[in-house]
Amino acid sequence: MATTHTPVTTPTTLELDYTPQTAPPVVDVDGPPKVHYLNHSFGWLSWLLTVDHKRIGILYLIPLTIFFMCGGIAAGLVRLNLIQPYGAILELDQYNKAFTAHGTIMLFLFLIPVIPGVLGNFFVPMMIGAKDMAFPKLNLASWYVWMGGAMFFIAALLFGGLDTGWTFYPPYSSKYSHTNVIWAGLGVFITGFSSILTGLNIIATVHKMRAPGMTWGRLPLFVWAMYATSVIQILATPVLAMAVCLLATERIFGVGIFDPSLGGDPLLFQHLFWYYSHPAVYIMILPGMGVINEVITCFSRKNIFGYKAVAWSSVGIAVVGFLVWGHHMFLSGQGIYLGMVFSVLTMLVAIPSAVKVFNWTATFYGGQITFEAPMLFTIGFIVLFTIGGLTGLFLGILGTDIHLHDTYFVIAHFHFTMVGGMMFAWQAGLHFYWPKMTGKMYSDFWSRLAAVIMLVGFSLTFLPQFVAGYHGLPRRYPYYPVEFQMMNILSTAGATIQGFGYLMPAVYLPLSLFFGRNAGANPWRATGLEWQTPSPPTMHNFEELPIVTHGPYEYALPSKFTLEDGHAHETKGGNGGH
Amino acid sequence: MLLAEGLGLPLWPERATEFAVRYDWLFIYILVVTTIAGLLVYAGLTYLCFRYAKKPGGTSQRVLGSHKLELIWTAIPAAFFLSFFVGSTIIFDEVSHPPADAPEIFVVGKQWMWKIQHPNGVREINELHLQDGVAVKVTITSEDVIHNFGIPAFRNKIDAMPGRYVTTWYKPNKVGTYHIFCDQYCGQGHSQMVGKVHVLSKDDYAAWLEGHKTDAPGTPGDRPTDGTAAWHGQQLFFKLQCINCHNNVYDADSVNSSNRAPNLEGLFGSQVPLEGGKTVPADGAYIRESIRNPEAKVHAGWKAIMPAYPRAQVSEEELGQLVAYIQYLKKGKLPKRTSQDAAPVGAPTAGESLGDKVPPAPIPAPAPKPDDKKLDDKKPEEKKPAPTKGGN
Repeated sequence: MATTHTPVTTPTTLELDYTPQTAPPVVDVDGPPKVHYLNHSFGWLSWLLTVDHKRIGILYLIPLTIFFMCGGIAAGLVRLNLIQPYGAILELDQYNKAFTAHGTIMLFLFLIPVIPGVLGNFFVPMMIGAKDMAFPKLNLASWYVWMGGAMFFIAALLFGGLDTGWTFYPPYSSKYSHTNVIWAGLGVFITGFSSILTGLNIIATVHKMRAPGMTWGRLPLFVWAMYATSVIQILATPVLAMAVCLLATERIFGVGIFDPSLGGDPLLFQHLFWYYSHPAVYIMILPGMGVINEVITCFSRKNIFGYKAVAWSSVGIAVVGFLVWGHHMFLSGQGIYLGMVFSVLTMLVAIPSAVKVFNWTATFYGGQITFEAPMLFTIGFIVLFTIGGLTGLFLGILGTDIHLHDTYFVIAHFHFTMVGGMMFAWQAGLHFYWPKMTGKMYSDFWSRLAAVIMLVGFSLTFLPQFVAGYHGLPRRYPYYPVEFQMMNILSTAGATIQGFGYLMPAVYLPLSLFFGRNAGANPWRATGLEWQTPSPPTMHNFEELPIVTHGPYEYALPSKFTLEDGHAHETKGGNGGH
Repeated sequence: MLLAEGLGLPLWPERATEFAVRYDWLFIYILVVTTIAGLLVYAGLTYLCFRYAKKPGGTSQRVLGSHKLELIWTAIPAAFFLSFFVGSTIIFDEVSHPPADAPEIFVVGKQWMWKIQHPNGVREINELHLQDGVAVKVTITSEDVIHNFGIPAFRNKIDAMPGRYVTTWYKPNKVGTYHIFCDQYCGQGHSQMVGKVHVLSKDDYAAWLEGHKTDAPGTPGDRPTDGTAAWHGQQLFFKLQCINCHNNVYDADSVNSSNRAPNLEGLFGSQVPLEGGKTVPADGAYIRESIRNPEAKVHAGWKAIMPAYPRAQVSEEELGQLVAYIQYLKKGKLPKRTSQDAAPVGAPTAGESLGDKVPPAPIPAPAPKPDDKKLDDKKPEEKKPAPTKGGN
């Protein structure tokens, strides 16, 4: 059959019909463009001084991957140590430093910046049809600030370590810890500014840079999620900066703020810390949820089920997420009435998360589903995030939290949302957008296998921890009663499998740069504006200003630009007709 | 949980209080609901994945959503969440309110040990002996960083916050030995800050009490029984010169006379009037605050002249003893201020040093030191043959 290789075209008229009869164009071109954002200039300086949002996305990707591996190694040490009840390899202090390194690196240097930094920078402008972010130089500054903060952090962990846990609770952190609290705090403080600047940039971009016809009702849900995330970043991060400043004031100058022996109140820190850090888990998960919307619609060839519900649930999570921080302090004597308020608000914030899961599942209805790696990661996300969300209910209400508080049940719940949720969403996003970012297609077999291995390894790691937690095993214990050994061994075995799973993309993705076939502009036959550019995109993304006439996920409509069967860039991962 | 058996853990974690059973029912209720919800999502996901897997030449349907369905799956979870909230609030309310008559056990967390003091003066470290079927109120604080006193078999856990008293209570109903864990990360020895709670039958508990000094509630006289928490508190009351101001000498002739501070007899449990018309209940937390930071809440009509006693001077454990003493100080119990002249603390005492009654001499070490853990066992011969009513 004839291949309809349409050149990069955009409809010339602005249609205002909300029930379009055809889908947006699905374009393809032969191979990558001669000049694209990766090769239009060379040399270190062309990268380090770039203001191109796509290059900045790549600038985030590389250190983030390294930090993820550092955090993963720390996790490996922790898990390895726990195979014996009295510690297999580490001394007590070393264990405390290892779990602190794991927690702080993964949270502050990986989970918070990963999707906003890489996919947010790269794709928010492309999705809304812009040539760049609203403030390109601020965007680069934000990367430098983040790297600067990260350097303080890494230095603190390398030279002496940190043993406070990622929560920095005083008076332990302000008075009793002999480790690098100040330097790590400085790292948190500085990376926080980067978070605020990125958030500002994205909000300005979404408000002012949308292409003609890109109404709020036509924004891809990833953009909605990034917008909600940015609002949290701007409003919550300053509070963390304040908390860290006060902590440093107490630690350096001995001013009594949190330490009761100096006249302070340790609960004050917990209020300030969780006022940031609870919304921060939504900073981590919302962008992931955004990615899931993009992937799930593409691979089931469907509109999202209930666009408005999914978009507003992001906003709802962002708003109510600010009001639930006290559920981390149910047992600290804050009183039952305060506890009840936080508890009922926590139940409230659980509802939009549940709605999202139901809507994603319903999106499959009536689809034409294919199971490439991004889709497998997405299904893994739904499976694991469901468990993560449901077990959160036990912890968010007053009564059941009493016994489960600070046990392995919390650890398992948190990892189910953050790894099972966010990490799988990140993998889904990375695998979904890799062809667009690099122009190359990775191995279909190995990527699917990696998804399955990660799912199996993850489940084996963290399901036993629910059981151990209900039996009372406290978190952050290098030594533990001997009856918990079997559970810990299972967990460690799972972590080993998981580790192999994470190493696989680290091998086949870079290899695809050299050996992968050209992906073509739109290997997944996706509808978003970002797919109407060549892969890799050219410097300014769009040759002509795109005009948007459709909602974001019109997969079910026939497109006059749809590629026919037997096209030149057939991919096993492709969703084109076969 | 089924998996757990044969893997080192029992089928279901042990339960040693009625509260634990009620807690488990709430847990099971939520577990069943969430499991069904999860399985429904999985079933739907699996069905849809197979049913709508890509077919050659197939086309997908343009389904935009359904407000009716969305309303249903918003309302049903909301209703269940509300039921979880109500059930759990009832459970939390129960654990927050100790029975009024329960004897009070005082627990101090310290890097990295639990120091436990019974109302009858018995002190333990990392061990807690309780009598089967007897409810106890537990007041917890910390000397340094935040700890958390958790007993999984009781399904109970509470933070030990420095500078605060937090209370909970247990009524064990099953004889046995169970874990005490510190659940809040507190530094290097966090995982060694563990202990055992021993729930003993009535007879065993009585036997265990043998060799421990016990208080005799209601014993006539104006001084607490030797070795009890209140007794230690009285020693401190003299040692720290509290008695110099908080005395019952109201005659202006006496040197140092006068009532520079309120008489503390009968204070505990009363309402203390503050400047401005407010009142504050005189409980352990109030007394604690008034020693550490006297200017915080000054009794109406008195000047804020009391010096503050930081931890360097009075440890949390000693503070607990002072609270116990002030609790003991009913009307007419306060000794003469001059009693101290004859009996500096630590000296062998005789005569009417600490009141009118003659205490058995010699008095054991006055102020407890943190490492004095074997104190109780060392001097069993000094045990006063006081009647031990019901062990408490």
